[in-house]
Amino acid sequence: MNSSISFIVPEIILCTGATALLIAGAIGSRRRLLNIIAVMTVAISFFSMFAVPGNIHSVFSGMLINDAFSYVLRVFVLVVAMLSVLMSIGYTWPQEEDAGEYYFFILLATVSMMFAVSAGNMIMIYLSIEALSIISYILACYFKKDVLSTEAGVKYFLFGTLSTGLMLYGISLVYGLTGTLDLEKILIQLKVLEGYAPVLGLAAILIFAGFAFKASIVPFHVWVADVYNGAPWPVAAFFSIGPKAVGFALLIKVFFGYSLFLSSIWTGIAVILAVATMFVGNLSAFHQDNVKRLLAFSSVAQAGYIFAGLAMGLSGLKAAFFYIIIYTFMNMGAFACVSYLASDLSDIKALRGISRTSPAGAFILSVFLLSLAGLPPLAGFWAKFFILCSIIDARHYFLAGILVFNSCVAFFYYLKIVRTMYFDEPLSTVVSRKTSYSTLIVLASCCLMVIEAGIFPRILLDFLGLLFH
Amino acid sequence: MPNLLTIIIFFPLLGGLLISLIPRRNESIIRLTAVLFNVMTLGVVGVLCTLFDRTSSAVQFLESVPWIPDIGINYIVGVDGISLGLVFLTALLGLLAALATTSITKSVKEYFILYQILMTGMLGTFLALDLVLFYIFWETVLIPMFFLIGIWGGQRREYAAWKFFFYTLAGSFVMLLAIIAIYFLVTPHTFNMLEITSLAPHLNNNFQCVLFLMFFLSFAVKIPVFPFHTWLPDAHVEAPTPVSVILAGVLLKMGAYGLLRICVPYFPYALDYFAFSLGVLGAVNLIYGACAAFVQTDFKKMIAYSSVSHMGFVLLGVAAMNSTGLNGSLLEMFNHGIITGGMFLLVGVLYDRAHTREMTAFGGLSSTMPRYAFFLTIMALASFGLPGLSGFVGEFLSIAGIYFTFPWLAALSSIGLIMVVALFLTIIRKVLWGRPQSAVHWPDMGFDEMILLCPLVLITLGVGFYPEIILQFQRQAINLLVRMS
Repeated sequence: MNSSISFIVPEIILCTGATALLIAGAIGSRRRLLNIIAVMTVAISFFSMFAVPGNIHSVFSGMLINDAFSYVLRVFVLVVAMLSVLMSIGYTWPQEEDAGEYYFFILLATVSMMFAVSAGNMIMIYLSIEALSIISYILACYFKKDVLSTEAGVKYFLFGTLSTGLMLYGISLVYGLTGTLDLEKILIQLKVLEGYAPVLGLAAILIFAGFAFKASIVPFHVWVADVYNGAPWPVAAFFSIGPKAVGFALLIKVFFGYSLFLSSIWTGIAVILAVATMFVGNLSAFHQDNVKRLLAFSSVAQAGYIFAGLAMGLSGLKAAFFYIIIYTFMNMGAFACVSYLASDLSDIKALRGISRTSPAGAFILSVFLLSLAGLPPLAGFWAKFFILCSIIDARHYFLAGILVFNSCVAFFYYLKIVRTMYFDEPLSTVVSRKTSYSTLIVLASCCLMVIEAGIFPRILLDFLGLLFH
Repeated sequence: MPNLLTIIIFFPLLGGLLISLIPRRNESIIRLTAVLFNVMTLGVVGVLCTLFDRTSSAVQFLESVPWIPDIGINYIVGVDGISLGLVFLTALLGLLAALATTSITKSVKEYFILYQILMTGMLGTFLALDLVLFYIFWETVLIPMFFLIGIWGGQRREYAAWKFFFYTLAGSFVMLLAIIAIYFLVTPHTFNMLEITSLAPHLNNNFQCVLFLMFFLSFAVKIPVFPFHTWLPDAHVEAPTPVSVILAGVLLKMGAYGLLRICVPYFPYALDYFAFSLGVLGAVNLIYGACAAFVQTDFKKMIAYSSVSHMGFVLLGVAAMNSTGLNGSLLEMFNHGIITGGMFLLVGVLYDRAHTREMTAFGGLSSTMPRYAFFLTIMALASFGLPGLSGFVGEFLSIAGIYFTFPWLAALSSIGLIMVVALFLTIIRKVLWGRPQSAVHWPDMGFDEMILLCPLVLITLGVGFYPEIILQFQRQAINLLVRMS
């Protein structure tokens, strides 16, 4: 039991910090103090990850699993949380809301994501996904008096409950067949359940729905544009990287790590879904003049590229994982940079001629957007390159062609934003921007990551190589 | 010097970084830095030319460093007879275009940063010997060019920039697919262009044809080959003078270089299979380009279409598949860079004075601007291939080469040859002769403008009288290419 407790020390720290923030916010502490507490909590939790004992395999009777995969993902989730908190600090909040409450939810979402990626039991996966979802609904409608924000929350809630409901049904089918919810035991049981393939297939699809909802894979993507658009910028940024990465991580874990339901039909279905996701995301983003919606649809398209890698089975796993990590940094950077430059406006007009007034900001945003588009030698190019390699290695030439066609389409709308910043005349009204250190840290670290991984992708690849052995 | 090629490739980029540190109000320092870095790049390329062993067909100055060993991507650069001339051309035109920037007054700092990145991309494309590295440099050229046309261009600059970007982008994505496909098709899997040279010819015929077409599509957009040429007139007309020089002088050569470096040695069966089609495309380019140029009223657009026409010679030379044709093709690439670069400089000189490029606005300049008339005449004569000037040698070798393989195509091409002559004589007649159309007398070319054209004229004369000064560098490499294909 002792080792079990020491395993979840980072989560305990986060919970303690979250509670402290809630109380501090309620008694009316200054925003500055709340910011400091939030950053410190995530930082301490991050460093306490080093103290997590490595010699135990599973804790809490198999509920949580301690392997390289979950360890790396927990660290990754903490990095995401840190970036989100920093972006929230630098963000100019249009409405005065209780910051303590906000950080409370962000930190609790982090805890549930950490539990989700280290779960070893179906019920644990369900609980953490559900907790993450409920917190996400609240965060989406964080501007209580804003119609768009409320709409975002309701939409997210309706689609979210449906998909988690489907997932729960799938889990119950698995339980009915195998009599256990422990992933490892399910794996053993599945070998003797050859005759129940149709039921298992149904269960797989239902469980998949839950993960696909988080990862925004078509047809579970419908909430994305409205929710991102209604939510505050930092929350939209958080949604686009945190829950999405968790969705993919669980997909990898359940469908690959435990080879659950990984059958020949997987590739067929997954390829179709990946193609649909790419097309829907890119074609919807094509005509958007609202940058927030554009980035939302672009994140759907990016999910399509990642999923195309996963469709290739184990060979595409490393490429997909590489993509997820790179995507996190470039997408976070793009969101943070747009929200900083456009000062909370989401129309593309707000970015007109911004290269004149803020050359550095325009340059950094261009780096993120071109990396998302996949221009060498930025990190996004290698992400797409490795995905393409795994696809062509598997001889799915048609899928490779579609991916490349979609990249072309994507180039158009990413470059449209760049064009607006550089070619158009600036707006006559001067937008005042608040430059804070936290924004600078987010932008600088994301930008460094995108450029560094573009020139030396080897470092990240070697690291992933260790992970997948 | 062991890392000569790495220095050549990344030296311009270093200059770009340095420029980004200079405050934007010090425009003259920025210009000076850019020029200095380009002078030094040209200097290092000069050293490279003297150290180059012209009796050897092998790749020299080879540098190989593992980059992403998991998938066999290496940083490999090297130079042989095919790339040496083009590297020299790039460095020379790079310097001249950096000097010819008096018309650039808007955001000078950004201009030169992008320009230096462009230089690195172009030099890297010619020197890279790893397919992925080649692709990366190839793509690196795109974004700076997009901005250089889109920000500093003329009236319809944005349209031209988009068109240029998406034509080339679509082409290069197809190339990326082909690159990855070739990696998985050859055993052992490799991106090393030298190793693929010996491995790819063993691929089965269908794969060869498909891969050949994929690479060719990408190069055809860049060369440009009819019917993928429509981006070129727009891009050229809208781009500012120095960018036009680079665009015509170097960028078009990237496509033709790719043809010689990848399509010819890798896919001998496919080349044989498609040789006649290539030749026909070359003849079409030659004739269509000349015809299209003939009906233009815009001076710059005429030169742009004449580039399409000249690239026809390059294609014809490749289609010939013998050493005469390939030598002609490669020499024509070099000559076209020098001559058309000069032509665009001359158009720029006139545009700076008249602020128009309509042919009807000019006339009788030979009496008011005698120095201009001298340079324009030499360049125009070289362009249509007057014996004794450089254009003749390349064109003659290409046509002679294709005569051995497809005599009828050579006959067809001679129609194009006549049209090119007519085209450039018309230019001379309309611009230099006749009665002056403008009441204002424009000043003749100044010293600063003539100094840019002098090296180009000297090279034109030199190569025209004694082509060996270029041919000696490329002969061995071309012979090797012929033996392989």
